[in-house]
Amino acid sequence: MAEIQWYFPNELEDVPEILTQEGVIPHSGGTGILWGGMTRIRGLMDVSRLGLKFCRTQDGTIELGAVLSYGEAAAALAESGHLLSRSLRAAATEPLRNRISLGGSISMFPYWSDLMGPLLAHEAELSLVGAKSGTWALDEYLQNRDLRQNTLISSIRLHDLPWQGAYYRHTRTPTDRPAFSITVLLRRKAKRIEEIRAVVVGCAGRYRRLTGAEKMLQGTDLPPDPSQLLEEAAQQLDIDFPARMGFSPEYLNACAAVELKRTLASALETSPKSTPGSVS
Amino acid sequence: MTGTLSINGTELRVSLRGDEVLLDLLRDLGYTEVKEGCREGACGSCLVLLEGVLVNSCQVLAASALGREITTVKGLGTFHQPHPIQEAFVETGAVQCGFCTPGMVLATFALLKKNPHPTEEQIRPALDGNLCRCTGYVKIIEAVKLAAERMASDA
Repeated sequence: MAEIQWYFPNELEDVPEILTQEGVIPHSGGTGILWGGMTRIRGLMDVSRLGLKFCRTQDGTIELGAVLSYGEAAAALAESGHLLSRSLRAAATEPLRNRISLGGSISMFPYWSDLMGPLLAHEAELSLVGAKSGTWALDEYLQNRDLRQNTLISSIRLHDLPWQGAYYRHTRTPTDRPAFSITVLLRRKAKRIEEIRAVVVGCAGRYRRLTGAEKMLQGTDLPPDPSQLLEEAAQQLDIDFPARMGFSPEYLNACAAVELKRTLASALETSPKSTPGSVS
Repeated sequence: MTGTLSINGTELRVSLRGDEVLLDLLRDLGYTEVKEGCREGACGSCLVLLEGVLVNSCQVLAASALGREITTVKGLGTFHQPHPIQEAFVETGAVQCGFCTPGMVLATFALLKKNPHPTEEQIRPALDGNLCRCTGYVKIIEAVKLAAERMASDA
């Protein structure tokens, strides 16, 4: 294998030219690169000197620098009880949380990601530098391969709305990778569910917005005991899982239906401040 | 490629491959207190502090650490001049085979730097990246508590 060339840019404006070289990809924490294997990589562009470690809250938007580690992002958002802070603190282990970066994790998007469900539910936007510079919806970035070629994610933006939320990760032990995760965000006005978003990560196709359950619950007035309603919403789950981690597809599907109902119930129990949430 | 690393306060000029992980570089340089375990970031035996932050050296590409400060367990204390955390591990019987101990000591150091008075509920997640196959963790948690007490009274 040819020697891997390293690049250490100090300015964002130097990034596009480096990324035009064949086989050169950004390096942030490096855990995903090592996991994915390095046989096709000819060069690595270290992004640690580009000033992309920040968390800014302005005009109802939270902007996170893409080089923030999971641990740093979780700490930055901890005070507000943000759901993303809680999902990231549940991910991996302390030393890995210190190394896995937001940008790297988005570009690699493993099925066990504890980042992507909350980001997709928040309808996050990405700032890209390189071949497709600009601001793009996360969902579009994931669907459009061109956006992922020769680009660097520089920051992630979330609208800071008063969501109620809950996050569930399906693991065998607390430090396990989740076979799948469920994120639910909702906003209520008295008993009425004004808006609801539900996302499963880890299913076939990596992720799915649960539009069936969302449509059923959106605009609904909650009865005193909503368990029957939530049961019916969970039955709207129409996704497939691949066999993984010793679990069969059928078992994962059954678990996901049960846990969707529980996660919806858990989201209803949280109080609507700045994106609070429970993680189970 | 070549560059410099500061390891336990000593500046070193090193030569390395672009795909080399920090664990291999450190062990090749003689820092064998950094143990090779799973090489997947799961066991914590290869932990070091990189710019004061706890990381699995098997999950760090060495080139990304060039120009940075690295601390191994020997940078905290030695056999003749042990750190209070190392003393606490010995006194509580938290060391059996000793393979996980360098990582455990560094994880404890990183925790106590951020939180000098951790509760048991805070100690457990801070050590979630460290596996021990001998002790069952009870003595290790006692050691962290004792080290916290000692370091607080020394401060």
